[in-house]
Amino acid sequence: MPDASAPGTDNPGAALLCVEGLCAGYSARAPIVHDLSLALRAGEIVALLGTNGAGKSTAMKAMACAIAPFAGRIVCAGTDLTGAPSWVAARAGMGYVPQRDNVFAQLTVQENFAVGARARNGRDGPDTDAVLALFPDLKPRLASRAGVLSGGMRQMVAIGRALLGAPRVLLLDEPSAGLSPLLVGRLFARLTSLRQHLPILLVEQNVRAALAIADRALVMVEGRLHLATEPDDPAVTAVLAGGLAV
Amino acid sequence: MIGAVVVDGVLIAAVLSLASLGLSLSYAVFRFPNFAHADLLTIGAFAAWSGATLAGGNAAPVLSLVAGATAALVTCAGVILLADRLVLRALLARRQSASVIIAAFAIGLLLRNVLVLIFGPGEVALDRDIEIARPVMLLPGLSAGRLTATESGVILATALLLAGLHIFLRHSPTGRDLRAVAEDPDLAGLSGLVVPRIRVLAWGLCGAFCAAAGLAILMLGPAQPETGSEYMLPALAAVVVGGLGSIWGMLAGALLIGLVESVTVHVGLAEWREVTAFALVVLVLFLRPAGLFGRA
Ligand SMILES: Nc1ncnc2c1ncn2[C@@H]1O[C@H](COP(=O)(O)OP(=O)(O)OP(=O)(O)O)[C@@H](O)[C@H]1O
Ligand SMILES: [Mg+2]
Repeated sequence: MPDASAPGTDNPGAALLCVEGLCAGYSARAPIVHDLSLALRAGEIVALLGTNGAGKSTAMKAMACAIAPFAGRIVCAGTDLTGAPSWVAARAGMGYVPQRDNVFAQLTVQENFAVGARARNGRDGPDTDAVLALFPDLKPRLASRAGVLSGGMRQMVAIGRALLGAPRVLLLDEPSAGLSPLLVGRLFARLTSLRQHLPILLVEQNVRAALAIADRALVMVEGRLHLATEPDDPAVTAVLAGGLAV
Repeated sequence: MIGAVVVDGVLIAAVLSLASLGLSLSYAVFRFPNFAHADLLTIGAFAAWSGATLAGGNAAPVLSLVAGATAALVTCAGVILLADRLVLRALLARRQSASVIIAAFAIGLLLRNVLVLIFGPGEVALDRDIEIARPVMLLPGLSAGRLTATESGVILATALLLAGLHIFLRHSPTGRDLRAVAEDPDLAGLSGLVVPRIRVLAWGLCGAFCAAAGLAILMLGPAQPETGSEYMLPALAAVVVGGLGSIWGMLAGALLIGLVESVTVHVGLAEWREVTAFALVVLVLFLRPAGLFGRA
């Protein structure tokens, strides 16, 4: 309710996620992410790239309020979430699929979805049927425990769980990890179909697949935003290849 | 003889599962062995005794049962929720299990001393008419064991409480949220569950089952300030044998311990009952380190 009435949030091109000067990490003495600023606007997919250990996952955890930032500001759909607990962020519309441990293994697929729907907070959004239309493979597995599913299915459960919370933005941390090239193609095709209603911030090791669907590319190096550019800019792959061209 | 062994074993197991449930549940949700649990059981028994006695005791049996149960429930839930609020919550947030365990130990000691201060070091017991143990047939063909009406009532009430807890956890939305928080509190928060609220509910359930256990213990015999501690070791054993954090595993562990104790008593080795029960625990853990139903 409060976010829908916030000024300007529903204009096309308005930033639904706004991060300013974010510093975060696991100990205040050794921050991992330094002074990160980014905006995610309605209708776009933004790829957040970087080499292993660059701090992409840490930045995402901080945006989702899974860890408290040391400095900076996080605003989602008009709600200031700086320092808020994770459930407040989820209820404000922050959809987040972590890189690891992103399903409740002991719960059934259906129960995972039902827990995800707790973040709805009265917003309209996809129901279980809509998620099953996106991921039809899950239909016969609704009553299975998520822990027994294959990696690809589990990734679909994790994304479905986030979608059922009717998020305003979606943060995906390496959704293609452990998937076969065929499955990656199918998953990314489905992500592009979501973009219309839901802007996505996408962290990926699979750079080519991510750039193929992204509208913009951000590259992190050693915890800092190094490059913000078009997805077809050759500088992106150059930086990722290890040439720390300044 | 077999019937008597089984019936006695089931009675031991019923009280033991009630006494272990809060321990199993708090381990599942908070991931530490709550050593204040023993004294919560004792408090349940003493609160039940106070409630029942104030309500007239034997002169008004039904009223005093209700009053005893209510007093135990309010006191146990109140005490554990207060301990959570004042001490445990802050320590759990720091994720240092050693300090949480020591704090729980200290809370238990404090509770026991307060109890002695109020009630003295002696025992309390309900004053009641002597009951006749009636034969009970568990299975056709099996010889009969004997139970008093109170003992049958305790077994029946335990079965109902366990079934109720099962239905709550498996088939209600709140029970599902509780399982989600127990499995992964971080992911639960990220999914929109208000984790602190569900943790309060978990402590409340622990308190409620301590109250039920305390009442059951008091109905079967006297209670004194060490009563809870006497149940703590077998309760830990039931929880560990069944697999830490698995409620059905705990029930299987309690049944196993109850039957072994019952056999030991019936073959005339009553003073060895705890030894055989713990020999069994060691054997199970040797064969299955994660317990009967534990996840390795
Ligand atoms: N839970 C943690 N506690 C302490 N340090 C951590 C933790 N998680 C990650 N780190 C450290 O933070 C740094 C950045 O890790 P992060 O996971 O954010 O990188 P990443 O860009 O997501 O890498 P990857 O591509 O491998 O997923 C690494 O040096 C890592 O060792
Ligand atoms: Mg990562």
